[in-house]
Amino acid sequence: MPRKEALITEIITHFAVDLSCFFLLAGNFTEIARTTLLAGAGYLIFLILSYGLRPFLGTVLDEIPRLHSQAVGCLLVALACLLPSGAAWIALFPAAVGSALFHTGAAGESVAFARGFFSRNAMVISSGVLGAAAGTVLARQTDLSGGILGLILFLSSLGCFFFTEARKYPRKIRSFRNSVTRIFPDWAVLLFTVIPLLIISLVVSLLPSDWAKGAMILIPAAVCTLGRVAGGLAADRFGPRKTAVVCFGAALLLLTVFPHVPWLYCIGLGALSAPACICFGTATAALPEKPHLAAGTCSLAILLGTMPGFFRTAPTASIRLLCAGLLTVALAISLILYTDHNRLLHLRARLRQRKGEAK
Amino acid sequence: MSFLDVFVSPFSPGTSAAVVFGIGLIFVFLICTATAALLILHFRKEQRREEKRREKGKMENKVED
Repeated sequence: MPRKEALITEIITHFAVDLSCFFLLAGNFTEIARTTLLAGAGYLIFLILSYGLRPFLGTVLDEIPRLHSQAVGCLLVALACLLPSGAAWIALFPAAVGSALFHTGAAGESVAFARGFFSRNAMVISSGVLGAAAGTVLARQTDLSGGILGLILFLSSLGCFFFTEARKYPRKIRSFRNSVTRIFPDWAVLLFTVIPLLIISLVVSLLPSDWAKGAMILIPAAVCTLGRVAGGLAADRFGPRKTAVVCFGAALLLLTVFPHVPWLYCIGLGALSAPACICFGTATAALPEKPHLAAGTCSLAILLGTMPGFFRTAPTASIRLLCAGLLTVALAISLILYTDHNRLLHLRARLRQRKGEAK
Repeated sequence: MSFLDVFVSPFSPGTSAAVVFGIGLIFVFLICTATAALLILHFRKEQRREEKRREKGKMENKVED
């Protein structure tokens, strides 16, 4: 497994960056924006900048990998935290651009150095959801100063600078290629990888956890985090195909049939979050020389899926039926696209072969 | 008004909400188009590189023969 210091730094920094961004959105920004419409507009601007810039930043980072994007991204978000509360509209822009820079760098780096292990990418991408929920709760329920967040982000940027961005990127990342069927050309692999991510994001927007109010939003966020980590570990242990099929099947049953039962909804949400790390890894299989562009394209799919959430209504029977259809499509794609080969299983097979030869 | 209310249903039906969201959708559409163009250019470049590699391989085989 790659270096643990880099992994721990990325996990903590991802948590801190998302916590700070949502602390700003839910705190200063919501106070300044006098109407629901303005607050929603600000949130929309943040999402579009933070997710929409990632493919383009990814293209630049693939050409110039040592731009220290993660450290610079942290510093920009820290700057946004340090701006006075009256400048919340202005703070939105460095926060969004810094978030985009950090996420593109971290996602690309986590697959570039994963050596075929889905769990590494899963651990890095999972901490952000919890950070976002924690930032929202902290903004509403505490008087935490932006200065403390700025300090945490400054220390995180130093960690990123020293632990994660000093390494030379591999030229081509072939470690996830065996996890994808070889019958499809690369553009089809990318398209079929991005569609399940879009579906995951769409289903979460269409079937919200309305019972989670106030500090209770930490529960679905924690479930998402644990689901992603478990998905990465399961993909390494059992293979990406089995993991994705079982998870989409469980989500199909639990989220569409029992969305009103909180504990079943949580299990379904965790199952739905699990295949996300598989999508990030297999997107790199389609773009082996451009891990940051692959990660940015995946992020764009997530942005598209969140759009319906802005006009969210209670989940009617037709919405549940639509989600059932979408999850069936995602399940079918997982069956066709993925294989059960991955690095851990490959290493185990080689070890068994060598033991057999030694005997 | 709390941000959590915004998060759950930020836009009540109305012309202003539709206009703001519509502008946002236009930007998202432009970003998607630009990303698609980037990806198409990349895959075409890869395809040309692959064809050149195959032709070079064929030429080398012919020379050996």
